[in-house]
Amino acid sequence: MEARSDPELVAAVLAGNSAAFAALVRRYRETYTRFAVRMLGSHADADDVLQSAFLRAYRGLGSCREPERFGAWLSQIVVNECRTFATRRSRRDRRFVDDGVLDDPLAAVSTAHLTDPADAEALREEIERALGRLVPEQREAFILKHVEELSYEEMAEVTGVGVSALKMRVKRACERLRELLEEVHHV
Amino acid sequence: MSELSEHPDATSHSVRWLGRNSSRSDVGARHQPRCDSAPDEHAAFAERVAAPLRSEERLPPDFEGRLMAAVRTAAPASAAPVPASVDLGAVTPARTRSVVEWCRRPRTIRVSPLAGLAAAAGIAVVASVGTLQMSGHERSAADTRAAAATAAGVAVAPETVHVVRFVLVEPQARHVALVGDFNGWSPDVTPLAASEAGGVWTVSLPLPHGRHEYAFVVDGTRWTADPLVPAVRDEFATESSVVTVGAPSGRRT
Repeated sequence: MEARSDPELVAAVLAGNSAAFAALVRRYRETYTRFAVRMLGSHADADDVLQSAFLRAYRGLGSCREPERFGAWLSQIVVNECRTFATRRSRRDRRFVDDGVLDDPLAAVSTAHLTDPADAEALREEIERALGRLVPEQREAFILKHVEELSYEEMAEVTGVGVSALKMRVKRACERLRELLEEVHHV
Repeated sequence: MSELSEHPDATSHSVRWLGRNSSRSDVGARHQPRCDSAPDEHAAFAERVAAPLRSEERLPPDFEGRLMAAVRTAAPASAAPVPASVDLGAVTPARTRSVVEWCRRPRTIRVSPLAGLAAAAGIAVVASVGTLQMSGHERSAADTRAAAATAAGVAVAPETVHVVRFVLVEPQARHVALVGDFNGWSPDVTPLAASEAGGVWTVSLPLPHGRHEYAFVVDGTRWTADPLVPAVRDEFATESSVVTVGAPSGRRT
């Protein structure tokens, strides 16, 4: 069955058809789930933030002036929501508190068997912990660049940050991650 | 509604950042080690770190159901543009008495914007008024109304324009940004300007009628609710502040 385009769905939502918004949610949610989980380090937090982001998008859909670029507009909302949540939590020093490694994340990293290629899950978890040690701006830039594989121009559009600043954030993120992981585990 | 719920991308591993759509195999082809502005060894390191993080993540099956339940109870999405209306109330904190007093004095200007030029002209006039107010000059609402009407060329049914001034006294801060539901909670969108003497950070911006949550981000990291108004806790249990635009006294809670 032929799918409706984003502008058609946006128009339907604005005409009062909330089911059309559900279609937009299904179309885009998977794209942002990985980013939110990596950015926040928690499926529960990612769930909360994406709920909030989609709801904000619904409430503000009338301000989406280019429905044909709904994806770009929604991306900005999601990234802002994740960044804000991460910044708030950073202020409260709650990052990974549930993992019980807040005092010394590197101590937990050191328990991983990163040299064992079969233990991919452990590797990923330890990398996520290191990622969680980055300041939110660097973490966001690293994920968008190397995990989501956006170009710097795309990143600039999503984040509202200049290309030069983004390159610096990615560079510093790489350097910090190397400090956290390479010296101990030779990643 | 099946035609709404089905889409070619719904069952594929699509990538739709910025509306870009590429298949998973396309993404795989793009996995070229790189860490811009860094040597190859750094790029290889970045790739080794990033590769495990590209595994798919899933939301709970009830995600959509919970979201749509909230959507159904939310105010309906509207095609109406952001109203050309802003409250010249002030927000925030300040230990400086005069600034506080200024902040607590709500100002509402009635203008008569037409579509397009009228709206732009209205906003420009309001912004100008805000600046003058901070400089201690007075301009009557009648003057403003007349100026807006002149710019518009033709008078139409007046709309209320609300400009809200946010003020924070932070003598030690190097940078202060305003975040709120009106700017997507982005610390990069609405920076505050410091006074010449330093310490008093301000920004004025038009806000649509209604309730808005906001806070300040100091030096890029420190989240600060408005110290002059009682804090509220948002859905993340973080303290923020609320300004109600269009309230009788520019109420803040």
